[in-house]
Amino acid sequence: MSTVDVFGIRGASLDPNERVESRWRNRSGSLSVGLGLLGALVVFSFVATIVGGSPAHQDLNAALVGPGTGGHLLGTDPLGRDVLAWIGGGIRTSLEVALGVVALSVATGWTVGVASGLLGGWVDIVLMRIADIQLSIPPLPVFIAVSVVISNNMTSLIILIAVFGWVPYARLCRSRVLTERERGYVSAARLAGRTRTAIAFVHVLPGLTTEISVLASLQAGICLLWEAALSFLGLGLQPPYVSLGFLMSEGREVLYQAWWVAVFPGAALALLVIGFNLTGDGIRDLFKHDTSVGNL
Amino acid sequence: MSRGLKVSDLTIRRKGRSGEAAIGPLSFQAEGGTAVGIVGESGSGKTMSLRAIMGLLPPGFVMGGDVQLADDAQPLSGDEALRAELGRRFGVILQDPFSAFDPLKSVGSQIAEGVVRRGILPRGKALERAGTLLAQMGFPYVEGTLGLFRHQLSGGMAQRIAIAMAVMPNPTVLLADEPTSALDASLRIEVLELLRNYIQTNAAVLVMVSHDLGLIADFCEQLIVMYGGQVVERGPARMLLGNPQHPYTQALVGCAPHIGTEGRRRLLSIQGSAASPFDHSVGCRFAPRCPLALDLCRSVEPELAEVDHVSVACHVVQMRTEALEPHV
Amino acid sequence: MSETALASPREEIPKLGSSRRAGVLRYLAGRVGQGLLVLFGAVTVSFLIIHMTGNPATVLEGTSLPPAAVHILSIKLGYNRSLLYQYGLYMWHVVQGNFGYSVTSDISATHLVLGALPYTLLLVAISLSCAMVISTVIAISSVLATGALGDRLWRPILAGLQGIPDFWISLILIFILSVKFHLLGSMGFNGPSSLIMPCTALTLPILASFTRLLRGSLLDFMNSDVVLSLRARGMTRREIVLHHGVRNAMTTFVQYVALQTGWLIGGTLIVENIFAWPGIGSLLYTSVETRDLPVVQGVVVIISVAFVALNLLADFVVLWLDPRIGRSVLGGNL
Repeated sequence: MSTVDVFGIRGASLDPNERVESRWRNRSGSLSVGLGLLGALVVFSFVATIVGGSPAHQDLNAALVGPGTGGHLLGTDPLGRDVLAWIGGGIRTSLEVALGVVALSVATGWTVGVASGLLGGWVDIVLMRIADIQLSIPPLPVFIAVSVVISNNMTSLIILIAVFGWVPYARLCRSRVLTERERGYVSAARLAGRTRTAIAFVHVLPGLTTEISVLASLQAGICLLWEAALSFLGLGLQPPYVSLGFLMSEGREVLYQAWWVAVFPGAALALLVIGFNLTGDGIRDLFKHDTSVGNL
Repeated sequence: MSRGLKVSDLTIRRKGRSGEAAIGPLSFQAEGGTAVGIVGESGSGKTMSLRAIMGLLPPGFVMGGDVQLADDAQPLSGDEALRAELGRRFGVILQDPFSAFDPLKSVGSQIAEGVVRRGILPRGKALERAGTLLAQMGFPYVEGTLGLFRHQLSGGMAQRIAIAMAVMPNPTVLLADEPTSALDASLRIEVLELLRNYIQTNAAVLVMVSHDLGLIADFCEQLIVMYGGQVVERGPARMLLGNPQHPYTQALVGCAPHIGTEGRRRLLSIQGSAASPFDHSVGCRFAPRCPLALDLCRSVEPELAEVDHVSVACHVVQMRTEALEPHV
Repeated sequence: MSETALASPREEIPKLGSSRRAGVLRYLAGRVGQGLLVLFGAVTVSFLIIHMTGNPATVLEGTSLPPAAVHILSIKLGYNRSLLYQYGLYMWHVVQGNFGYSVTSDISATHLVLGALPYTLLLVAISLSCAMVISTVIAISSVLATGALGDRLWRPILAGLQGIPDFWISLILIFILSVKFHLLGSMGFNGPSSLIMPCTALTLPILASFTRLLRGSLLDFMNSDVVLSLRARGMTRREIVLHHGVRNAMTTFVQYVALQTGWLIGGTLIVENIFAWPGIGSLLYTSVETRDLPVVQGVVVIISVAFVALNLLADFVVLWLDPRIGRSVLGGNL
């Protein structure tokens, strides 16, 4: 269904089944909160580092002090590292990982999807089967199994997580290619001599930005959880990398006496993921019909 | 007026806007056993008017005016009162025959559903009646038909079953929104005859919306022509077709594709595109496309006035009539 | 598909019985075949991953086993043979359900895995049921309640809930219930009360995603054309949602639940770890730490099997719900 301009129903067709949109109300909903939250967290991360100093700085004299004591706003961990500073660094690390994973997933997924759609035939069949298999492999056990072999390395981690994330993009691009392929302008472009790849770039990709953004936001959230989970288990990013998950695993050891070490990084993580989820939702809302139930 | 229908000053506005109604006022009266046809292009407001009568306007729209049924002392007004009649005294048939059915349930369970839930008939009796109606609609294997699902039906089958479903509660009023538009030409007459049959046997009123003037004219006693949300002409079908007064009606009649022995005729079309009921300027809504438009037409909106048993909303026609009639 | 000429009312209703059966069987066979293919792929991939770094024997060397033991073990497990041979042997064994013996304890890997599985299944079953029931209730009542305000309120809340990491909730629950109020033990399986915390931690995130999905499907249905007709027949909104909406929304929902469950079986690891729960998650973790490859393989394969089996189950349910699948289509639209 086409988007209906709220303040003036255009054209001759007044389809009574068209729901009157309250998109304007929704515009300022999830999307702005989500982006706002993410923005705030980024700012917070820099402030945290400025206030808290270097995350790696250990001070055994100030180990496990509570929030607010001795200049440590959120307390310290067993090695005297400032929790606030660590969270600041951790947020940035998480965002780096998320960015890497999303970029890689989108690139891979797009390539596979477009290839599948354009080339068709057995290439399509094989690639789509691989995608199906990919989806049925449970990620966490594989992460763990592989992490043992891969040492403490952000690039490898990004690749690993991206391996589990490219399929939705591939499917999306493929279905778009399949629909667009039949359209007139594609034949026209071919006649004009454009290669199929060029067509894919110029015509297919732009139309997908919305859906890709939605998927990307949601994937970013999920990938943050994975990274933290792996670090929590001692398998992901360990020091010298600054990971929220790592601090949480420390916090788990000292949960009884120093709750702040686990709780604060977790809260930061949750907020990041919520931010991404809201953003993804918000983008989706902007371009889809308002799903409020209305009169009927 | 036995089992008749009277619609008075039906208007539709955007919520929150006052002033002139976007659609309407629409008024008409019909005896039981007759049919009223509302004709117009897409966007003329005809479908919305029907929805207003049903009480099912989309969110953001407000209706005015009322609907009087013969057996009632008071007219019904407001969506809630009208909605309450759905499935009881109002029967509805929509354009898309397939959208009448939930795809996951058999057709049989859905035909009876309405009356059973509203407590009009117990389930056993309802299914019996469904069977009778289906037989009337031309289905010989009633048992088999009841067990079908919507994806197993053809368009014609679906619409006929939808009609059976609509007349289950023996409604006083049948509201049909382009009931034949989605069907093949060969089926259209048949479906319209089924509708006609029902209203005559049960002294009910049929209000039918269509864009096809030629088709509808044979089946309706009255015709109402709408353009840009306004009624431009209203009257007995025969007169409207034989001697259309309003320039728009004339153009519509002229546009109807004609199969006959009179020799070939040019297929006319009306210049310009249809006006929307919601963003109109002053004056007659048809003026931009009207070959007879005067300055008066562009500044003052014409009202419906009687001209020879027909109501017409057109300055030019009214002026012409006045000129011809002796002043009293 | 147009009618032939002037359609006579005497239309033939086709004999549908046998052709529907055939259609359904064909559909099921297709799904089972696909499932097997996927399973095959997953099992192969797990094999490849384990052998990714070359010879697993070298992996063993990284552990605390003395070199002599490593050597013996390698021969015993066939690590010194060619990759293709190992693969063949592996597949042959997998089909028989034989995953070899645990490197650390010399107990049959299959035995270990199957022993730990019930604990995980218990967690998953309870969390899933709770999530399904609660999410259905919330989704339906939020759709029944009119007013766009409810919509604007729910969506952010659910989005928020979905973002909370299960391990964080676990820690908070432990802190509040165990540490501060000494209400519940936090370690291991000690009867029903020890289920409360881990299940809560697992339920909350999936609750959020289930509710959002079901709600979305319900609303999609409520915004569709069918609803206008239903209303026009005199059905109230409540009736439409309960008797038509839920059924229509269920097909997508069930498939999503199956997908989530499959992932959940593999995803309980962290929660199990935190609560020292003796399920396959913990088993996997310890076996990975100790480089106990046969057990690792066993766990990964079991999880894949569960995933495929659940999806097949979902397919069955969808088949039962949706009469369109497998039936022959007579003209008209699908």
